[in-house]
Amino acid sequence: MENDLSAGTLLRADHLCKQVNSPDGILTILDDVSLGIRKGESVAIVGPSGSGKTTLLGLLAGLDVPTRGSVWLDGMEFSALDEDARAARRAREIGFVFQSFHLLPGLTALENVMLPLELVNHPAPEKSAHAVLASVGLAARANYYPQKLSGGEQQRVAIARAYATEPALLFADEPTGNLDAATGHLIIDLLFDLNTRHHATLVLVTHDPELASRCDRTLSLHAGRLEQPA
Amino acid sequence: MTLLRLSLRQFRRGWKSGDLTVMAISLALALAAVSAVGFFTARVQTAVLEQAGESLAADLVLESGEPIPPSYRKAAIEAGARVADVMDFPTVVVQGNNTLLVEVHAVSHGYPLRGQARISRQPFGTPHPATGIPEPGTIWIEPRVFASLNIKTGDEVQIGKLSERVAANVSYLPDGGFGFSALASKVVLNTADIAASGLVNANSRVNYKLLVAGTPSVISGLETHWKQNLPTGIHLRDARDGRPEMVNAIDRSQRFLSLAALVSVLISAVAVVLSAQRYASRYTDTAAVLKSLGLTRRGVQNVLLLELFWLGIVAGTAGVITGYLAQFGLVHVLKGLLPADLPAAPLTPAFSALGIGLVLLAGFALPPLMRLGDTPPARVLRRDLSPPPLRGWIVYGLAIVACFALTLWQVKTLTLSLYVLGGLALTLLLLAAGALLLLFTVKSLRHGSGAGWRYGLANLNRHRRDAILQMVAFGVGLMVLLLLAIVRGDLLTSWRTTLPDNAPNQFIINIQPEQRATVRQFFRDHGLPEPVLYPMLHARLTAINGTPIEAVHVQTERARRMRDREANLSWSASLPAANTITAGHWWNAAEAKLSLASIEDGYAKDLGLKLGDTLTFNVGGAIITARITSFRKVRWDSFQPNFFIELSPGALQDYPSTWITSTYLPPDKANILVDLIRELPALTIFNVDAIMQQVRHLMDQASLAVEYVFLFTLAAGIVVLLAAVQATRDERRFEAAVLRALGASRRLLRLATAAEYSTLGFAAGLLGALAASVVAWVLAVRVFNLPYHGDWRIWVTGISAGTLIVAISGILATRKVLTVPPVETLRES
Repeated sequence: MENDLSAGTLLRADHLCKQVNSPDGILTILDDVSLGIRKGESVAIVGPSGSGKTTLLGLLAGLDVPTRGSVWLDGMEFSALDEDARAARRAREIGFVFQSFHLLPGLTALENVMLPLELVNHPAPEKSAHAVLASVGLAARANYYPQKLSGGEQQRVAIARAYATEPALLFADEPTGNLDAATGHLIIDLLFDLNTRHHATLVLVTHDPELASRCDRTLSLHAGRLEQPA
Repeated sequence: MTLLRLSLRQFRRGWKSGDLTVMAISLALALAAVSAVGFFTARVQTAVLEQAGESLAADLVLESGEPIPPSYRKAAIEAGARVADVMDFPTVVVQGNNTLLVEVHAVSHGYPLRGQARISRQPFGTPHPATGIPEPGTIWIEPRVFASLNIKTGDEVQIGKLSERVAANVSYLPDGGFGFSALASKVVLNTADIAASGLVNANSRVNYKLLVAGTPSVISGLETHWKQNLPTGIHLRDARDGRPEMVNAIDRSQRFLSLAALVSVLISAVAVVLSAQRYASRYTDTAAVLKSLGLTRRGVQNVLLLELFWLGIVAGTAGVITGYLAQFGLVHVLKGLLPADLPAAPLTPAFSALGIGLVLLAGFALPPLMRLGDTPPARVLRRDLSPPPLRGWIVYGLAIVACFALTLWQVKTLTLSLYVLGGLALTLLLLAAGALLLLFTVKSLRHGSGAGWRYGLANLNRHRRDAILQMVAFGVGLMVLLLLAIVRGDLLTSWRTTLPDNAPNQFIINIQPEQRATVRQFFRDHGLPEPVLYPMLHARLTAINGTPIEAVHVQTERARRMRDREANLSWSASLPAANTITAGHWWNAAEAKLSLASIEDGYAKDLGLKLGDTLTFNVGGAIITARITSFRKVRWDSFQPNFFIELSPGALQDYPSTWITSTYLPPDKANILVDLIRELPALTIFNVDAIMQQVRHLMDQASLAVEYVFLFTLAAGIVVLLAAVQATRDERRFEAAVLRALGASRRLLRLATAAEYSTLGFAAGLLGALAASVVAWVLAVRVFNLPYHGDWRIWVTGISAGTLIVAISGILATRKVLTVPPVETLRES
């Protein structure tokens, strides 16, 4: 399933369509969306509520499968893989930052960061996790459980977790949505700083114009359709 | 390795946060019930097995209702074997004005040839091996004799014509049984005392035994020789025969206690399901995050599987330890029925219980948790995405298979398992239907009540499934305990009241022909009506219509016993009172001179007898043949001497017999029989009241043991309640927060909680009492043919116990809901 993508394109979507059943019949959430994202690029997906941003993010990250169309990751048809194969690629190549942090409540900050490293059988997960936690300024909070951390701290742990395996691609879903403005700024700085350091490709969904403006490119979704095709 | 670590971390967290607590408690409780019974029965079984080799107190035993011919003893000694004599028979021990029916175990020097008797100075004292047998003039007695006669070591008691000194308490005899089978306590006596005691004469009912022990070759030689030439009436037993009656008794008690434990396990299973569902719903987000981070479906499932495994190990171990401690309680409850020094429990029941724990988790916790493997990873973006619901057949199928596996594990046989599960399912369904009906009633009541009550009762109907589960779980526990504690006693009392006030309460047996006049005179002297005396002869049925009895085919175990045992024959010219002819006719004066037989219905049915059949008996060596002319129905509870086989006077009256009678003695005259015994020491007197009391005591002890195990069922009911509270805790917290934000006082919320749980408990108690009453009615009217007069104590105890237990548990379990500041809850949600 190799595709002759132009050199440098890491992620590509072809004619993506997502439909779901609803009480009123079939509901089209995404309608024929095609786009390409180059390695190292940062892209913001913006649009009003219900425009399909998060659905698009889920499809691009392989968390969900499209009704029609395909997603290609590094030259391989990602969307044609089964759930377990997609999970394996996510573990190796993709990092996530979520609006509601999604730290595992049963694990300490350190253990949360260690988790993706352990899933790819990293030789020294604890050492690496400590280093990443230190890079987000939370070395002293390593053994805290999430519920003992502030919202900003939780999101920093989530960012550390996302970058721990040095993924080629990072997805962020409204990373500042649950934070106050000041903390939001700090988080954005941290996110872009790490992205630059790790040379990762960043795809983020946001309502925040300031956050979008810091990206290399902005894709605007409206009623499931891309207004500025890539 | 990663999954192992992750599972351990998740387990640790689940444990700390309390998410796994209820599941752990329910598992521990189920295993505690199972392992308590397991450890207990294993200890008793080990005791029996350890003693199996010595259960005859010899290698070979010759046994007969007649003295064993001396030629056997001579042959054994000549072959190089050791021998000892044993005589077992019932008699009465007298001390002051007290009498007690006992089983004499008269033994000669050398007894026991295998194993050792253990005695102690005081009842229940530390036993030590006996070095010999009681010296002539002394006896060893079992603890019950000490208690019943209120005597101590060194006291003298009268047995027959002798005055014997109590030398020791006997705590173990190799051939003594554990008391499961023996209603009368044992008194060990030296055979040297028998002749002078006057207790044994030609027609006494004595079981004579010749014990033989020697080298295997000597024993096998003797056994082969004797087996070939054994006359009818002498039985040969070797150590391989063991003690089937003991094994059966233990087997039966194990099944009964295991059934009681099974109910706890199945009710705990409900709590396991509820708490596993709750855990699964709380774990869904974690599963989604893990999948988004790259964990596969199988990976998520393996983590959960491992978590369950850790839970099984930790809760299982706690349960097994609790069970181990609880079995001491069972041993205590059954003290006196068990050997004084039970061996330590083996480890096997622990593994068996852990296995049950795994089945419980696999059948009831696994399905909701395994479903989490299918959690869509996109849930990290959209919380409304959930794993697809489980297919009904998987959930119910696994639960049914697990229930069946657990039942089979506990009760061992397929048919019984099916009966138990069927019966249980029917009971639970009926209780559930009753619970539903009560909920509807409660719903209609709520309109006329205050806000607290209205809100509390509304809660019950909103969580209808949980409410029904809790009512049924408690209802079953209460029903069984009510049946055991109240109905059992009621049935016995009810039966007692159906007997006429002056129903005979004393049986006098072993009256020699020449003593008949003395006995009659004795009653006349005491101003009592002269009793009717019935002749009784020991005989063996040897053939039916000329076919040797061994060749007569019988269908049932009971029939086989009837066929092989020694029969008591009687003869009478007229049809005895309490007997009615059901077929054929009773002999007239002319026929009475012939050799005819009248047979009890049940006996005839067991042996397949027909009118006109001829029966051949061996009566003390003489052969008698009689033709059946009638079948009789016998009212056994008339407490008259009654016989399965009555012959015409012509058949039997010339043979030597002893005589038997029964009579009613008013309580103030009960002691006069002590004087009769003093005058005629060889008489044996059965006091029906004392035997009834003994039966009652045995039943009390046995049912106390079962009640003890059923306490776990009640505890399991409480855990179901905890699980249901936990399952709705988030919802309850949110609602309480909203109500308090709207201005509801804590008092109102507490009232609502109290209303909800006291109503739940009241309903559970009502259901339990109703079910117990229905079962009591069925048992009384349908099974035992007794009048049933309800018992208010069932209702009062059931309802008050249900209301109190459930209300207190419910209020305690939900108290945290009311203490969390509402703002915190609302912010979280």
